[in-house]
Amino acid sequence: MKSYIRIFHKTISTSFVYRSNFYMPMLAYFVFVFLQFSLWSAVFAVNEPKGTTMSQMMTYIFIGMMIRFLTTASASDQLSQEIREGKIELMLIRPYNLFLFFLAKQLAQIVVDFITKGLPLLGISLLFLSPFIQIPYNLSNWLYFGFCCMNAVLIAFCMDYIIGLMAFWIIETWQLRFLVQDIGNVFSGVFIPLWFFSDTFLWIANLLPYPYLYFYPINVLLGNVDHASFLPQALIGLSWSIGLVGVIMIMWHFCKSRIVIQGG
Amino acid sequence: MIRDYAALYCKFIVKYAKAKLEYKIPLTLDIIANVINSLSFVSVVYFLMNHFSTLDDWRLNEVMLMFGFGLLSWGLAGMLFWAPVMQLEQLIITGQFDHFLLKPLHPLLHLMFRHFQHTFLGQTLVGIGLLSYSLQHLSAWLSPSFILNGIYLLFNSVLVQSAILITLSSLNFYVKKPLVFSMMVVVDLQVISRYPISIYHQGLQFIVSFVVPYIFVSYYPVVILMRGVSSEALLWVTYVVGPLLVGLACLLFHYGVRRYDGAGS
Repeated sequence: MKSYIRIFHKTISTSFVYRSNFYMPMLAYFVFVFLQFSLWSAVFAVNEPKGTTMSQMMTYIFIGMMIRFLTTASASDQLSQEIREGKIELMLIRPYNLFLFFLAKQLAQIVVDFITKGLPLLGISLLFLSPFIQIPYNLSNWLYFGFCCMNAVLIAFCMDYIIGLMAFWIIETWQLRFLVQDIGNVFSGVFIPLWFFSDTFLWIANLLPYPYLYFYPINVLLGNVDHASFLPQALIGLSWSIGLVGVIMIMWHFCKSRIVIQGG
Repeated sequence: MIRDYAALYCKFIVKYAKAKLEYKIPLTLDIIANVINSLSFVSVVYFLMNHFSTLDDWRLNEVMLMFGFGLLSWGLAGMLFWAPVMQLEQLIITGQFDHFLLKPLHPLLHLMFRHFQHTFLGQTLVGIGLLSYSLQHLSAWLSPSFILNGIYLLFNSVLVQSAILITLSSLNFYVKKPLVFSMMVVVDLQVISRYPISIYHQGLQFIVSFVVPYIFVSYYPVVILMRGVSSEALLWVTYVVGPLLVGLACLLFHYGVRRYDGAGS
């Protein structure tokens, strides 16, 4: 455990060494959020919406941008590179579990992103959007929201890790990563909330783990989910993360038999 | 002279295709990933329009036509000019750009020739699909003047997209590390400009008209095709803006190359 806390700590401190790397991504993130706001306010200004109010939509985007980096996992990038270049050997002889090593790095990255992107954005958006944002306060909703977020981190990380492991079979994984990300952007509600989906697409979305990454946590905090459905939803979400960990364990079993290390 | 260039380009493309066809699975995945990426943006419009039925007087197939113009021109321009935008920064940092100055071919042409960006086939395919979808639902499309007009406007859109990409790549000669900025323009602003521009706040309208003129790529061509060229003042500018901007962008690149005095070792 101690070593994983070390890794967590080291990842954070190395990220802060290159401070100039922060400004542009921060600006890019801000532009993305600004454009989303302008698109949605434009849509709501010219049309009479059915069922959804402007303030609900803005709150959706606001909470969304705060929890977006919980689910932007990036381990697969490094993992597949290590596999491609054969450096995975070095990682295997070190005294840590590879899965937990990357999980610790991911958690550290979330903290870094929250400090460098989340907090500045929180300030800016509160300045301009506070009249629109209405988060109903309800303790049980907040507690359940916390649970959903933790589960979302795990699901997102596992999905990304599986893509990283695919490098044992297909060498280059970035296309796969983009594919999963793009499908995720639609079905997790990043581009458009699931309220606007037609029945068929809603049915498809519910078969996938994506809504648990983004849409369900936000919907809970908005107060759109009644308490009776907390438990079944939580169980499905939890079974997704347990299932994905299971898939990773099975994959890892096969990966071990594929590793060929040449030389000595 | 144009014939020589065409022959040269063919040689470059054949070499590139041979290299890419060696790895068939990544190649297929490249294109599938880009098709899905484009479709994910289209799905947003689809859901939106299903819910709202009109967007500032524009119906679903008209907005799809805008998306089709945007995606198809982006695909065609990207195949030629995406590589310079992405690679020039690294080429300058590592000093490899000096090689380009020694070749008997203008650096811009060389950058464009040597890397045919096949990933944009995905965008192109989705763009063609969208155009044919929306044209099926329009009654007016069979007249020859409409078709000629549409083809010229599409060509014009490709020129505007190319001009923006060339300008972004020539930024490398004037400022340091502009890639993140370029990505922001291309990824965020471009996506937003495929919607009817008239729904946006005036500040944003100003930016997409005068700073990064994406308004000429998909919004104005569709306004001309659907509502006629006289429906708004100065709309005819759209017809000349493509060649004009490409000329200016090439000049900018050319002076950038002249300014360049090496960065690596």
